[in-house]
Amino acid sequence: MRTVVLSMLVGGLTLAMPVSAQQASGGVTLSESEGSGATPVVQVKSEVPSAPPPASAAGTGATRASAAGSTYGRYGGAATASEGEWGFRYNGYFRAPMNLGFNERIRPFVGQSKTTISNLQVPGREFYSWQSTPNSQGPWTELFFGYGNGTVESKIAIQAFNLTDPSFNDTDEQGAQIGISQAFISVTPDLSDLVDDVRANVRIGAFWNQYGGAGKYDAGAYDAYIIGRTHIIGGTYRLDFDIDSDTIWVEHGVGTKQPSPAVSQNTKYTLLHHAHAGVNLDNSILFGLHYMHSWTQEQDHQCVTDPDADALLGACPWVGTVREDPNDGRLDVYGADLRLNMDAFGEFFVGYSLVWAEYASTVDAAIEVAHAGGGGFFTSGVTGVYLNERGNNAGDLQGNGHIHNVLAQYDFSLSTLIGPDVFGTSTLDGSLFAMFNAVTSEDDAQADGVKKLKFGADLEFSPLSWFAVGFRADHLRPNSRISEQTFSILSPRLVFRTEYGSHEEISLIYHRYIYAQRECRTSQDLYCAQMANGPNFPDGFGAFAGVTQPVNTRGGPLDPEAQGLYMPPQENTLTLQATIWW
Amino acid sequence: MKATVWMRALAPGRASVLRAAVVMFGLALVACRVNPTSPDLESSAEGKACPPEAKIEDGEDGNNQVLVQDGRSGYIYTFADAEGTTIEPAGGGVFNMTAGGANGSQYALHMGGQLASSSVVYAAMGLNFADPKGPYDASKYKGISFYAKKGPGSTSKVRIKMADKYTDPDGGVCGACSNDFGMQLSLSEEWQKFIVPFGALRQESGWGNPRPRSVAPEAVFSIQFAVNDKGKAFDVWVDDLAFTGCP
Repeated sequence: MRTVVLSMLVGGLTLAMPVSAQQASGGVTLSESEGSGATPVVQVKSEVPSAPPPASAAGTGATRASAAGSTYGRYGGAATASEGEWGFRYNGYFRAPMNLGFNERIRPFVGQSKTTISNLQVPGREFYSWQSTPNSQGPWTELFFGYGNGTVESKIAIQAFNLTDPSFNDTDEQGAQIGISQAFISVTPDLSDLVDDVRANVRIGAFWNQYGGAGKYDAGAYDAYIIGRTHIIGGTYRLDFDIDSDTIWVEHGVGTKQPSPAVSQNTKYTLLHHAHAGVNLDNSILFGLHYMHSWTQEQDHQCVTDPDADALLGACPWVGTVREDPNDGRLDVYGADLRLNMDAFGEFFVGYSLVWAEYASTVDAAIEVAHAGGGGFFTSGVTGVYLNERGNNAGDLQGNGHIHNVLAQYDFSLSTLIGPDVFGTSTLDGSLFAMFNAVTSEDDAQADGVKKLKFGADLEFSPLSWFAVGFRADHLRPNSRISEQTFSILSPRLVFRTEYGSHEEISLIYHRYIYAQRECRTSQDLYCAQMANGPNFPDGFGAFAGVTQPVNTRGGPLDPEAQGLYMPPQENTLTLQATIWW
Repeated sequence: MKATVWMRALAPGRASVLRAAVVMFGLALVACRVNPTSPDLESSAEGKACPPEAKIEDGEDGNNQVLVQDGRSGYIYTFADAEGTTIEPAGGGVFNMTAGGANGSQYALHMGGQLASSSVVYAAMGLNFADPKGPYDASKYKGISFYAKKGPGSTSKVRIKMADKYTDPDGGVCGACSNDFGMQLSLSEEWQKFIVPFGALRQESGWGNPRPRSVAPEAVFSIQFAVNDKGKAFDVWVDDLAFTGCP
């Protein structure tokens, strides 16, 4: 309660700021210049770099939003290109991949080929899964419509994670056509008449705040936020204090998340309060401290009283004729991140977070952290992703425990280090990246003490302005106790574009999945490559009809001759995809 | 690599070492930052003063050409974005010196105006080293010195940048040009002496092609003083530009 009062008081103060903002004179920038970009399923995106200052400008370069706590909303550019006038701006991004996953029938019938071709059935295709990597992405499209002037801007986002013409009219089953997902007003008042070297921004509405992305302009190699990304409607304000070329910043916000009413959902109306502070030393050292607190205290809902279904319904107040009041839940994140810009030696990011869960199965995805959607976003929250082992029915799915998370990424350019005398305008850029998670679970003894580790590298050589060849390697160890779950991915690619730094990119990517134990004995077997808690239905790896999806849809492909219930995951996939941002 | 290896690395004892290493590395980065107004630079190898032929421009002759000596003969100019930024002297015209130089001198280089509020704005004044525009070999020097100040109400943020063969389109190399090596300066309303070693100049991160490790002093095209503080007024004065650190 004290948190609520505090949040409301501080939030109330922020609401007064737009008034003074509109009274302020002079030019005020319209928020960010970042472009928006890639990402996979489940109403999420990450971003790609915005356009650099035009070459013809011979100019100063735009001031670019940096990470390490400064990932404060990046939605295209300013609503207007000129000062003072109300105007319209339109930004967007899409990724359109043709995915081919190759597999084999164990024993084909007459008239059936041995080789099968289907959509991707590999671990990690799901966005809310620890095994998620950008190697197996589906389509993603987003449009941002902005209207504003030099002080105030509004933005409306339209997003979808499926393209219905080449797939199916996916408006109901998984909600791929997200629709109008965000809308907000952002006010950037000019405070120079009141105080020097202070910048302010207030944002009210439905929008993302993003903390702990490993990339300079996006969420990094794993497309994950080690501190958190918000999915709320609410408000945030930010103050930047400039001291010469250094900046001290603070940020504070409140919000709410309304959960899905689906009967398989545990979560309740979720509240969020978050505060952040950091320093930016001449864009060389950026350090941020973060605190995010999400919780529920809503009264109980009606629920399915089928005893067999109760295991899925932690928030169900009745067990038979006995009332069992579930506790209010909370999911808190404490974290810090550091970014070092080492000029020619590249850029290094490291972030740490402690995710603390108490009856978090009732906490919806107000905070997306480390591949998990809140505490109990269906089976894809912290409760399902970390605190309970998939397939282990011993877990009570309450969402009690905590997780230490570390994410690191080092981006470098060998062509910069070696120099243009050797490389000319060719570029040879690379990344090293890793994520580590240590789980303490009170839900499930089998998940308690589990360590998760994944790491990888990416190298891309661009001999020509319009062509590049790249290679990415990933190694994932989902469970320190079960080596059979380990797998690796090798991904060579060809990239075509019209010029350096161009907005569009056409890629041809091959993936080779290498599993420590590819085939499971049963669908509940833990000693093999694991499907996600919430596989992509209707055709994702492990998407069984009636179990992980509505009973009125087909399940994923299976082989009736296989020992397990499902087809083993694919080993070879091929993707031809187009992306562009503007 | 087994997870246990990582776990051992993160064990309490090792964690302390790691934390210390990160802190030390960060402090080292901070320590590497050059303070261009530090008097200590004047006695450094990069900042020590050079003979008179190293002087680039002091404005005292009142014309719009750099001092014609040591192979330099370029002109002085201004430019700005097309988003509504205003600048005086106006771009495309003849650059005029302004009365009131540093250290009691008569004239200085001066630009003033108002930056627009668009997402990418800029205004700058620059000095080409050669005319017709071409590369100039400044490899015998190690830095540049000058005096600078801002007027009342002006942004204090100015970036000095040096276009070289890898960043200037006329260098014939760059695929994505104009990310010149530079340094962000903070001006006060009093004249201050700045010394900027070539080795302290950095490109902006995230764009440009190629991205060399450092500026190429053997083929530099120009020096520019640029502002990009959106929506802000600017009133920037510069005087007594000279190369430093000669043999």
